[in-house]
Amino acid sequence: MKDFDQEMWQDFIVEVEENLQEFEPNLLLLEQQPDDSSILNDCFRNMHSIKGAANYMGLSRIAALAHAIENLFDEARQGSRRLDQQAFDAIFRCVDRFKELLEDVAQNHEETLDVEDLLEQLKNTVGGETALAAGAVFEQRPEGDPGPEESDEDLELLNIFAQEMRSLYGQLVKVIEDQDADQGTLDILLQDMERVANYIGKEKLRSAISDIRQGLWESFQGDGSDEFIRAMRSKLRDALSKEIELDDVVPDDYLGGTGVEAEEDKELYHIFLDFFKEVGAPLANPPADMDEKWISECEEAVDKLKTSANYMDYMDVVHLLEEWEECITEQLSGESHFDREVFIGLWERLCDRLPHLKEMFETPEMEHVDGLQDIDASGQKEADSPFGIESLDDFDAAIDTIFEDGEPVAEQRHQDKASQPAPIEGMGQDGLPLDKENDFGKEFGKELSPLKGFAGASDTRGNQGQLVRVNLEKVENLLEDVAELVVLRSSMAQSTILLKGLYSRWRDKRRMPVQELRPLKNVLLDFTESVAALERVVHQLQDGVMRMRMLPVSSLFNRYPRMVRDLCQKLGKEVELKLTGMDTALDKQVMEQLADPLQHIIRNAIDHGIEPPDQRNTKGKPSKGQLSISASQEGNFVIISVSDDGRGLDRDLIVKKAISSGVISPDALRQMNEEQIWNLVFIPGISTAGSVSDISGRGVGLDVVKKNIEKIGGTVVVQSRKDKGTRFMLRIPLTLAIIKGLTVKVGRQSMVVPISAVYETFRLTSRDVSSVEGYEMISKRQETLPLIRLGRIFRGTGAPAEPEKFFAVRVRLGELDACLGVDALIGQQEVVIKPLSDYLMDQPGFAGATILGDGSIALILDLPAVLEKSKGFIRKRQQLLEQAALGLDLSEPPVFH
Amino acid sequence: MATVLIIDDSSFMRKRIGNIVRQAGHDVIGTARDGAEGFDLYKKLRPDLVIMDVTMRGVDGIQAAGMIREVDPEARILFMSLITDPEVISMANELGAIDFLGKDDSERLSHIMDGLGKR
Repeated sequence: MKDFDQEMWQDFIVEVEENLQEFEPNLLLLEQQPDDSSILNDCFRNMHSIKGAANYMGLSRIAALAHAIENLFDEARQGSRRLDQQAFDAIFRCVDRFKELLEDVAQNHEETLDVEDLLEQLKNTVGGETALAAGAVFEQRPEGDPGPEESDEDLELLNIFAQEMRSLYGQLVKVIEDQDADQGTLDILLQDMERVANYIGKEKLRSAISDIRQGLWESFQGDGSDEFIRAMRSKLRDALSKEIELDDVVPDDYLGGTGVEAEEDKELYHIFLDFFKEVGAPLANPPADMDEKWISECEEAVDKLKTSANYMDYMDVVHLLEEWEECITEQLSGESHFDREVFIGLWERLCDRLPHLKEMFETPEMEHVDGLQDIDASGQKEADSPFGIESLDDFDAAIDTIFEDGEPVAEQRHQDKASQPAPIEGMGQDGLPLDKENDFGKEFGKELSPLKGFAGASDTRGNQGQLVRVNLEKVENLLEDVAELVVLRSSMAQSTILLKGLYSRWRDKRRMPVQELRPLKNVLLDFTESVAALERVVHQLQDGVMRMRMLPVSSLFNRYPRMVRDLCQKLGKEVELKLTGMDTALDKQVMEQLADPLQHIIRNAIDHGIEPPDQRNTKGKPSKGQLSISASQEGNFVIISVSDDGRGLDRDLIVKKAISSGVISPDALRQMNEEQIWNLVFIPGISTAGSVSDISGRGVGLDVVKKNIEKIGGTVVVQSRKDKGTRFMLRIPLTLAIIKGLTVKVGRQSMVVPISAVYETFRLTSRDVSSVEGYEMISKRQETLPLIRLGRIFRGTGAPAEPEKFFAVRVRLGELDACLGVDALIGQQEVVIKPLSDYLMDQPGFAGATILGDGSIALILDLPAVLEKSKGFIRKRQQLLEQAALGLDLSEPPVFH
Repeated sequence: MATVLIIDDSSFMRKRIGNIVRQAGHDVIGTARDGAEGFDLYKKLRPDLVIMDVTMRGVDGIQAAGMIREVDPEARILFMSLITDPEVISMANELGAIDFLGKDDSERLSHIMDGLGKR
């Protein structure tokens, strides 16, 4: 059945995807109302369609799975059985497997993943043996099968923390190697690592890090800290490798080097592996009896590999290959009797050295060789010990593997693929790149998205109906062209004005008789009209292209019902999820950036906000908690709110934590209103609650949420009432590509201040500025505001140092409120953001650049970064203010900008 | 050349069946995704042959066949379904279906299509 063309495969995949997209939400509904026959019918039909299409394509596993589920529904329809919790669990697992299989089919045009386990589970849910089977179901779950707690949805979150963990360790190693390790820095880093481990629920890892941290304190009180640090580093490594063993994951790499040129080594290693794959097949499959042909093949392969290994400087591999050579020579000279075991033994040792080989050459028959499976398991374990976790990159790989154990899609696919016999002849263009991609994909899972689970992919494909799929890059290019067009239009408008001036001058000076000027006038009028029309069209075009990048938030929200369900199951909570405003459109890029923070908030709400049913009952609340997520558009922003009716934030704990961490002085706290206190949870010192306590668990990493939201120009605030619930409000810009900005001049340079943050502008003279403890301040309507002169922060603009008259742009961003000093205000306009090159981004302060109507370049201010530069002195100002206003009621209405 | 109406809730199957029909040199003059839509189209298009699924949302294939036969007792209806329930099949036969094929039975379909003349 291989004669289907690409289009048919594509059609098939779209068909199944569409059905699954319909099926999953229906299934969630059905779980709530198992007796609703119309939902039941819909579910039945979805499975029926999938079965039909799969049958047609000859994909027996998908068909079998769909058939089995269809049968369950059919029985439920007939009333001969009720679908219980276990049945739903099994079906949900099937949905996940369908997605994996689909990915599989998309790549390989065949099914390599097994479905037997799931068929078994489905079978077990039928009939009365459910109770008995319940235990078995979990045991039968194959390694790497996503349990509900580690489904695709978790992956993104896990990835964030994997990255965080890696960067923390990187910093740690750097600090140690730069010899400027002091207790404070190390402690902070370790504390952060602990938090990360805690968040992802790696309890063992967390406590290990915690112990190390404990030891750190003791060591610095004692002596020999240098030695200790070394010990600490290795302990940390051990902690991680232990975690790996626990999870039965083999470190991904064999790195010859010690990490100095690890990146290069990794590459070389893979080149070597690829080469091995190309020539090494004979080594993996020794025949049962003496075989001249095989021996000569081996000889050739060993020779080639030895040269290569020599080149790569893998001396241990070279030695092993030399042993091979000896054995072969013995065979050829007839000195010894052919013994297959000898060659298998050699192969095993080679595999120990190069763990990837095993997967690469494992053939189905080999698995049946006696005892090999045992060796297989232990071999993998041994494989990681000789090389340990030596370098930072090993650590990277290790972290990746820890986190990837929640990503069985890639893992399993990888192994399945590798376990096929090595396709020596057919390995041309098709086999090689794919395998390669898998190898690298596993390692660099974050960079190579094709393997990054199915969830993401299906989201972008979501809601397709009658849609055309266009590469985002194309839309982006189009957008850039439109931006150019906007610039051109502006310059044409400019020309019109010049032309008009010219015409009036000629007319006034009577250089020419009026009749002769008339054609010129006509041309001018035509031209003016055309430019006006052009402006309209360009505007529409710009709008249209922007809209092309927009997706309804439903493509993001659609994954939540399932996530909420799984979380509830895991945590034993009952939650009703309400989604509203699903068709609110949002820029795709913004949406991607929003996914993690939102998920974080939702998880928190269910984990810590909503109480377990019995607690809720004692409080007189319905046992089912409410979680509602809504989206709505407000001008150029989308407001997303996540609210629960749980226990609310713990005010006392926040206050306690705020004081003990020293972030806020007790005086300042006393003057804060409720709103301000709740929003303290976003401050790192408070939210990063360390190991001892966390703000009813709520605070964990909320600073990360805030940071990410602000990165896309949004804001987040939280409101809460004890035992009534908590509400997070996110205000997100519609798009990242175009913003409304206020253009200002700083010296010769034009700069754009995002209008969303601009509160007001006013004129200033040098007399208005006063200096308090070295900081410049201005008074405005009895308020004292810090003044940040952009000409001083950014040098090279040619701005006068002490202008007599200048302007202030007052900006508000979260709790920061300050005035930017600029030389002139130009005007307000929409600008298309063009990203700056990487090397320019090193210097924070600019979010990008744009081209103005006159063709000149303006830099777009990155307000968080600019304000960050002067944060110290803004804080200072707040302190001063508080001192000055002691006893006054300062509670201004909170401002959400 | 005969004119064919395809009624199936799966776009994939509509496309596949359509290809087979066209390859046999016939004309797909309409497609519908459920029985009600199919019935409306039948009245408008009066095709020579209807190829129809059984399991569909709302009005299913058997109901639709009944409705079609009511307005046109001569209608030629061919079922393609994965359903193996003999009861359903006998209902289809009672309605005068010319055949009841499995969904993956494209060979038999092309065979039938080859032998199909204009009414």
